[in-house]
Amino acid sequence: MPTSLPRAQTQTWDAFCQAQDARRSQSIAAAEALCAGDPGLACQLLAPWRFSRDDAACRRVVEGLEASPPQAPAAHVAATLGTPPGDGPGPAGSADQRQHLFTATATTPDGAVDHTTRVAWGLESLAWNGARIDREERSAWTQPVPTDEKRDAQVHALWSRFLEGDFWSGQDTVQKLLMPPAKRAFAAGLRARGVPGAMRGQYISEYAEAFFWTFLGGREGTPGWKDAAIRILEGTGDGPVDALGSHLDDEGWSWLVRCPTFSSPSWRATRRWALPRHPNALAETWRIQRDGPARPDLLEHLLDGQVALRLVASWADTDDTRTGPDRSWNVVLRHRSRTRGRLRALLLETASDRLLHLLTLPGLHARTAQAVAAQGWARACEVVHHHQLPAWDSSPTPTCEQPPRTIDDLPAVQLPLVRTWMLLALLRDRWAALEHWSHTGSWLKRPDSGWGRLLHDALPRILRDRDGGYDRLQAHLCLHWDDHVRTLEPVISAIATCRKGPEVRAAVEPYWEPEVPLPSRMGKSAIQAATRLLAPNGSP
Amino acid sequence: MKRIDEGLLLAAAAGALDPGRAQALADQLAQRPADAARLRRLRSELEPDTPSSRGWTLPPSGSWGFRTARPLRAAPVLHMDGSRGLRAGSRVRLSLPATTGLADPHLLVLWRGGGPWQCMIPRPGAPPIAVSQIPAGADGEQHIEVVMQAAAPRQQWAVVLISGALAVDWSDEGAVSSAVLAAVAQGEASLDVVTLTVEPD
Repeated sequence: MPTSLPRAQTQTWDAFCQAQDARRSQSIAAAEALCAGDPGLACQLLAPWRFSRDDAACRRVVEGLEASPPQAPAAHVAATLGTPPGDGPGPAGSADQRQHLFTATATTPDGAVDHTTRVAWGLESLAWNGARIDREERSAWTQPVPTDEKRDAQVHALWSRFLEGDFWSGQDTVQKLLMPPAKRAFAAGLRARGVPGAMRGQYISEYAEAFFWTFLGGREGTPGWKDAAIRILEGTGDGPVDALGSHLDDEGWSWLVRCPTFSSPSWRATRRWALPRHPNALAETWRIQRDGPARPDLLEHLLDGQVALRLVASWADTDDTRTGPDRSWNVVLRHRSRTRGRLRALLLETASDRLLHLLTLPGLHARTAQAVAAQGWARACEVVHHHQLPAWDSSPTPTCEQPPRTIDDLPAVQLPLVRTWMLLALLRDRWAALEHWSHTGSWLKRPDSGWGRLLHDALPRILRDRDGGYDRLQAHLCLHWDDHVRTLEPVISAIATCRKGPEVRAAVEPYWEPEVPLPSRMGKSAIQAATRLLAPNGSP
Repeated sequence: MKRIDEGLLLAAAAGALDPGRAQALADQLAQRPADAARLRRLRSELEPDTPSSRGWTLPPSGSWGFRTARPLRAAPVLHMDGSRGLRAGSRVRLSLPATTGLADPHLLVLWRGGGPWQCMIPRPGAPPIAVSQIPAGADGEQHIEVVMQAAAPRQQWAVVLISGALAVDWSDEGAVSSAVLAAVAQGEASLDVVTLTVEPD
């Protein structure tokens, strides 16, 4: 059982100060450039964050920071943007060394901090936290797992049997190899939470009796073995979120986008940040559901974005000082842990076939022992939380209920109708309004009675939502805009070559669907609109 | 430097830290030899590995195995003198779980006071009782009554419903426990365990 810790990653105080100096000067230069309108250097500083691979997304983060700069007190500014003290802990871990910077400057008298300095402080802190996330939340998970040929073979055989539905013949292996680490963690968890020794003995004894059965699962909730399997899968990628993301299939993504957590206020803000040109939540949902299965890195991109946005928001709080290193790191851990927990619950419901992957892993004994130890610890926390022993036949993992279905996309049979209505928008010279509305959900200009009539009078009822709204149509146009424009290109070209109204009518009639009113007059303005559209800077 | 929280050290000692937290702790311990010593001490103090027991290794409570439509229910039979609570000799009525879906269900009842589980019904070496032999009450459910034993303030009762087709030599007690528990583990038999507290006289 790998109760030993990994090798400490330490450095001398001088090495830390050197890196800190470099980060400080880069942050100050980046902040000056950012405040002058150039986000390039600031984005370079955020390289450890996964969203930095997307220039536009990274720009939106640093621009948000510049718009709402941190309310860091002078002492915190002095800690990371001032000159480091000559002496400090070393060789030591970088978190301790950074804490020392804050301790050393704690008595700095408060004073005014200018805007650029605040932005520099925010960039430096984002850079630091991004690097720490990369080190502890991703790289640390890729370290080799200890192997033990005999025990690994025993646990491999156990998993093979479980995955084939044989739950009994592995009983000895469960009791001998898995129960001890789980029981130790349960006992440690009780002790950590201050449960008196006399009660601990009774609780531990019950836990040991229940362990095999909870591993099999009772009549409610997820069986322990499945929960352990998902915990093992967490260790199979570049961090647990990446690993779990790589096991999400189409169904998993469709659950994820409908998960209530994913619709919480903080995630709504993250979705808007990640998908700025989307008219509504439905369009965001469809986009993530569509792109997710082909982009296993999307989850880390979103989660890193979520964490960075929350850090920026918490630092900007004017009522409370939230710029200390511990508070910042707690924001990171809270969001990452919560997301990991929900991902595990989601995979428990959707990933039965993917569990077979664990049979290919080296060090299966150590991985399984760590998974059941985490379960034992979680059970102990549950005991303390509820002030009693749990119902052993119910799972401690909160169930992920299947969320309600989202609205389906428009059926193929209605697509000609959509394109006819788009054509009508072109003929009435409202193409720009249509494109803007499809990607932002808002009107390009107000008032615009022509656009209003297109929406209210000319749009076939069947393309509207049941409640008369436009969410589905907007989401559809946002996701399929290019496809529709490509399909319409021949008719738009044909309109552009017309010289008179009747020719335009002849050009569009073969494409026209009768549910959309055909304009009685089509003249030069339609031809000009089509010509403009085909110009090099036009959409098609 | 700040002392490391004991909870974190305990989690590390038990191997319950995820790799990220383990790395962070390892880094912290580099500067805190006293905490590293505390971690070593906690490791040695934690529960030692203990060998598993054999025989009737039942869970302490809950419903397991075959999913019955109605779980076991236990209710004390009222005392004629109107007193409350269970005492040695008190009777408890067990309403058997629904057996729908279980072919030719048979019944085993096990009991545990302070020691290991013992099979109360049937007698050791005898085959289990067919549930069909137990008459249904006015409510259509089948009930049995068990008597609280003396000298055990905390008593656990387990009811197993198992298919009559289970192939086992019922006279071989070791084989019986293994076969019955295997059937529960495979979801082919139901197991309900209840705990009852008996007041001293």
